[in-house]
Amino acid sequence: MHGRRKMNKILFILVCNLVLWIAAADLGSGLAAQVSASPSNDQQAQIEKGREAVGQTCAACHAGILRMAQAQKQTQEQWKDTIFSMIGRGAEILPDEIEPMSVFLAATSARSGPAGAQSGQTGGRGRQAAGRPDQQGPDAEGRAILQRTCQQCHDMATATTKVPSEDWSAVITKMMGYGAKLTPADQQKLIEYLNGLAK
Amino acid sequence: MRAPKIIKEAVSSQESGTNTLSRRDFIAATAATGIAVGVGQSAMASPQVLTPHIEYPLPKAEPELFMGTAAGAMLAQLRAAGVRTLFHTNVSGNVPFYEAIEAAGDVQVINVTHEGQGVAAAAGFAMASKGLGFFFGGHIGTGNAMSNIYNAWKDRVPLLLCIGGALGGPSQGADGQEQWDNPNGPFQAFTTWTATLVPEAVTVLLRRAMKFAFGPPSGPVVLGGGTGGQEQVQAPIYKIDIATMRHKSRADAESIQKAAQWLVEAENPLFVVGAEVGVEGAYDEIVALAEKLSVPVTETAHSLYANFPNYHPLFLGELEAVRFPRKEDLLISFGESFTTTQTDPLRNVPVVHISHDPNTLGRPIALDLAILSEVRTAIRDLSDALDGMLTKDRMAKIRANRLAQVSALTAQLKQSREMALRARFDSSPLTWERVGYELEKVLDKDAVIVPEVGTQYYKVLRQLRLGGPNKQKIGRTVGQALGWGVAAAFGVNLALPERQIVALQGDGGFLFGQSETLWSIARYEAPMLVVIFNNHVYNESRDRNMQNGGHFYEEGKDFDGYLGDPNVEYTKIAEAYGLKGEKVTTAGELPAALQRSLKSMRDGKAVVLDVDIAPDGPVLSQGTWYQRHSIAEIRKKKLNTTA
Repeated sequence: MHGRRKMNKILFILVCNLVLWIAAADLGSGLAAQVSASPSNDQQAQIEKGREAVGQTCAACHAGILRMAQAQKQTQEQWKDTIFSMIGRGAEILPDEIEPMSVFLAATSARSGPAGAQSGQTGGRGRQAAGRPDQQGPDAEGRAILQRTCQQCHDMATATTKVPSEDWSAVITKMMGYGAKLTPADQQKLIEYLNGLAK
Repeated sequence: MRAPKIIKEAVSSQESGTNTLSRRDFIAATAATGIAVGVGQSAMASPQVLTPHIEYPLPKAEPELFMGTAAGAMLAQLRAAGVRTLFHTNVSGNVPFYEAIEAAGDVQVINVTHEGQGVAAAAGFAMASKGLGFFFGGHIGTGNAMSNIYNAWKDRVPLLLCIGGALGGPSQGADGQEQWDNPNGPFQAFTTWTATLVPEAVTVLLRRAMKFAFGPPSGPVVLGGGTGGQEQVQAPIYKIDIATMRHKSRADAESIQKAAQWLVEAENPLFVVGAEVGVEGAYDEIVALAEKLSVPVTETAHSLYANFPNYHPLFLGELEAVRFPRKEDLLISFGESFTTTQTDPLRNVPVVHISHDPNTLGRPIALDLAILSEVRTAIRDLSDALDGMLTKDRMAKIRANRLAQVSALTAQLKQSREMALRARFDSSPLTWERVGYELEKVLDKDAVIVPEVGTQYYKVLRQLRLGGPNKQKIGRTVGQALGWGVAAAFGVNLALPERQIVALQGDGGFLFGQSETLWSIARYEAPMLVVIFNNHVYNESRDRNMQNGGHFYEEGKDFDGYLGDPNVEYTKIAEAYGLKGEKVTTAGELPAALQRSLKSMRDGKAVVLDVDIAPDGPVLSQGTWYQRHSIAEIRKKKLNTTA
């Protein structure tokens, strides 16, 4: 009996170790996955450059470029093909922006996009009409402005998050430098809306 | 000083057979006495002495009088206006008109087997010749004609359409054969005027119709009642100079000064050039003005003509895509109506719009300054105003600084386009860019391009040197109703027989009833080139439907885009009309095919070049899917069998 108890204890320890070992292996691979999913600094710089270029060029004709990118789910090479196609159609994309834009769009495509489709408009040249502000209050107007302007390049989480030390006015001014088009009235409504979200 | 020349004695009321003196005769009589009517006392006290200009002789006031059939009067009036080419689709009832044509000996009837194609051909002719397009046909072809009348109306093309058919009379309300009430009614939305020719006033109405056609606004005019008929008439024939029919205006000095001042003060001005520059031929003037202060120049989507050299370092491309300057603070439109533009690019930017068409000013967009003027005149006035405001040194400094910035950008954009061209240079099916590249290598420097292609058009056009002393472009029609291009190109070839004419046609648009024009191209031996960009799909609408993903995109199901089944052999359609057809399926085949096409054109025979082009836009998983239905398969009864 004493020997069996000792054997059970050893087995119990072995099993616990095995469980612990498996758990550790899982955690390790998860971390590894997280580390490999986090872009390097170079990649991040490319993504940011691509984001800026997309905002300045694609957004000129495609109000919902971010939604389009998420819906089309293309590889980087396919996006590069698309970029060349758009250059041919008149998009003013500089040579050193082609690669970063394809990286940004591919990264955007890789994220899960909004469910369902937005049907294209009839006639015209394929651009979606800018969304009309909801007539039911300032919050709705601010949200509509955010959707049609900020979400051309940013998902909702990114578009509504800022560094605590910055105020929204400065952020919006910076974004307009990147190509975001806002009237003074729109800017004010957007700032009020974003400040309201923080409360 | 000499006294003014005595005006011919006024015709007395007795001699004229009336009891009253006409206003003209009264004024002539009083002028002969040295009394100026309607002028203040001081002027009457010292009559002005006119110094005659040899180059401005007093015109004869009395028009020629034509005596004969109303149809003959109609033709005489057309000839007096310089109209010698008449487009026509078959209909009965024009024999008196043909008799007059045969007697004249210098008028050509161009038969086209579909009214819509005939109207498009007349429009292309008018756009190329800067004259009047004339078409006559039957009212029964109204439906056929409507699509391209709409296009001509959008393009502001001066067209005169004489449509025969039953009008008024006892048949009204009867719903008889080929009869309906208000035959001119369907045209009214797309014309500047409609009326009915009556024999007793045939040339009066014709002259008036031409005036309405040229305006401005310019556009189609429909005259019902056919081509005059055989009733005997005495009709005045008016000497009409088509080149002066469009009323020309000039802006007031204050508006020009204001625009010039804004241009001087703006840090980031932008020009947009439109169709009126092409209509007036003000190409040299707009280039000179843009170069004066190195103002970057844009055009709108599907700009109707090549209004500014697309290879110029100041030319940015389309207004909607512009990203330089980052913060435009002034936009000046030279004859651009903004018909195809969405107004987003113009938000918060002060806009000056210069146009010779009062109907256009302030219509699609709100303006800060509207200037009604011939565009060419306004450009010159603006240039003179700038010369008065800026010293040469300051002008040179502004010019040099801005040119350095703009040309650095345009050089980079050119590099990007080169990268896009080379990315799939040898791909088969071909890219649009490759076709444009090969065309530029072989076409005449002053060839005329007539495109009717979709949103991929810039890919081929930016490979061609357009504008200025180089190739001209007519099209795509601003109306954008398909079924225009080949016929318009045929009309251009008739107007410009010495130029090389190239129609760039999408396969989808060709299938909108354009093969009929191949008959006319063969009949009249128009040695033109029709390049069909055959991507087997309505690419523009597929792109628009699928760009945001969704259920149909995921499943690759395009309900109305795929054209490839049946896979139409356009070369065989060409050969069916006695023309030459060539098929190109690989990039390597294109150069030799183009050389053979050019040889055929030099020998006088048109060519249809069917080029396989890769579809564009998001890649569908089932790019060739269509909703299948087979009558042959579903029928239960088998016909013509012996079983």
